[in-house]
Amino acid sequence: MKNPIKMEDKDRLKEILGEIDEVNEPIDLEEAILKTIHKQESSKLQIARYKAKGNKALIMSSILIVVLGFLFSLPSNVRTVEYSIATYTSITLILLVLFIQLEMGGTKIFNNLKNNLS
Amino acid sequence: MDAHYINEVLNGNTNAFGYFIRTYQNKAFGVAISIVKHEEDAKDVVQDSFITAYSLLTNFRNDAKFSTWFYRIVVNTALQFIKREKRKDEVAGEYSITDDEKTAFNNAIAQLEKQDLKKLIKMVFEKIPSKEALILQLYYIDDHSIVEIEEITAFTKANVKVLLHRGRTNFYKMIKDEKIEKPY
Repeated sequence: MKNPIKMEDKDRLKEILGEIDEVNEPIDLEEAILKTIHKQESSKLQIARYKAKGNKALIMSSILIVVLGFLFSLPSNVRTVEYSIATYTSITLILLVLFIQLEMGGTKIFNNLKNNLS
Repeated sequence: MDAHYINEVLNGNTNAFGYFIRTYQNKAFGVAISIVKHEEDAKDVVQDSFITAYSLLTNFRNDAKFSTWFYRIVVNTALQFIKREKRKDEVAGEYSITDDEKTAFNNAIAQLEKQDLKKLIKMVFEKIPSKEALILQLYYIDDHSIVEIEEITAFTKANVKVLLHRGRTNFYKMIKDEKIEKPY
C-alpha cells in the first residue's frame, strides 16, 4: 500500500512562501555569545590551573609525610619509639587539617567557577 | 568556508566562531521560535545552542554539513526547553480543507504585501503546535528538503510528512479563522 499522505506535485504554498527568507526581525547575539564563550574558556583554564596546583600540593604533602615518617621511624638513642610515633601522628594530623582547610576554602572558588560554566 | 572556520576555532581562535554566529543566528532563531514561541526564550535557546556547538565542535565530522548538524542542536535544545518548562505541545484536531478553499487561500495570501505575509506567518506559527510549526519553518521558510528535515529533527520520513500535512492544514485553518482581510 502506498503512503496515504501524498506530497502535492505542485505545492503552491511553497511557491508563495518561498519568497520569504526570514519571518522574524534579525537578531544580533554575537557579542553576548562570544563573551560567554570567553568567560567559559577562562574558567576552564583557571580550574585546570587550580587542579595542577592541587596535584602539586598533594604530591608535596605525600613526599613530606614519607620523609618525615622515615626520619622519625629511624632508631634514635635520644628519642624513644613512643615519642617518634606521637610526633609523626601529630604532623600527619596537622597536614590533614591544613589540607581540609584548603579544600573548604577552595569550594567557594570552585562553585563560582562552576556557576560561570553552567 | 565553514570548514576553514571550524579549523580556525579548533586551532584556538575563539573569535573565528563569530563567523558561525553571524551566519546562522537568524535561521536558528526562526527554528527556535517556531518551537518555544516566545522571543526571549528563543534567544536563550539560540545562545545555548551556539555554546553547545562550540564545546562539541571537536566531535563534528567534516563530511557532514555544519548547518544541518547545528540546526539539530537547536531543535534538541528547544525541545528540551519546552520539556523543562513542562509546556505541552498540544495536538490540534484534524481539519479538512477542500481544494477550492486551498486555492482561494493561496490566491489571497499571494496578494499580500511581503511584510503582511511575514506577520501572518509569524502569527500562525505562534498558534499551531510546535512540531508542526517547526516542520513548516524548515520546509517552507528555510527551504530544506524532507531528507534534510529528517536529519535535523531525527523524525522519521513518515512523521515529517504527517507533520507537514497537519501543519499545512492548520495553516489554512488559522487563515480561515482569522480572516485573511485583517491587516496583520
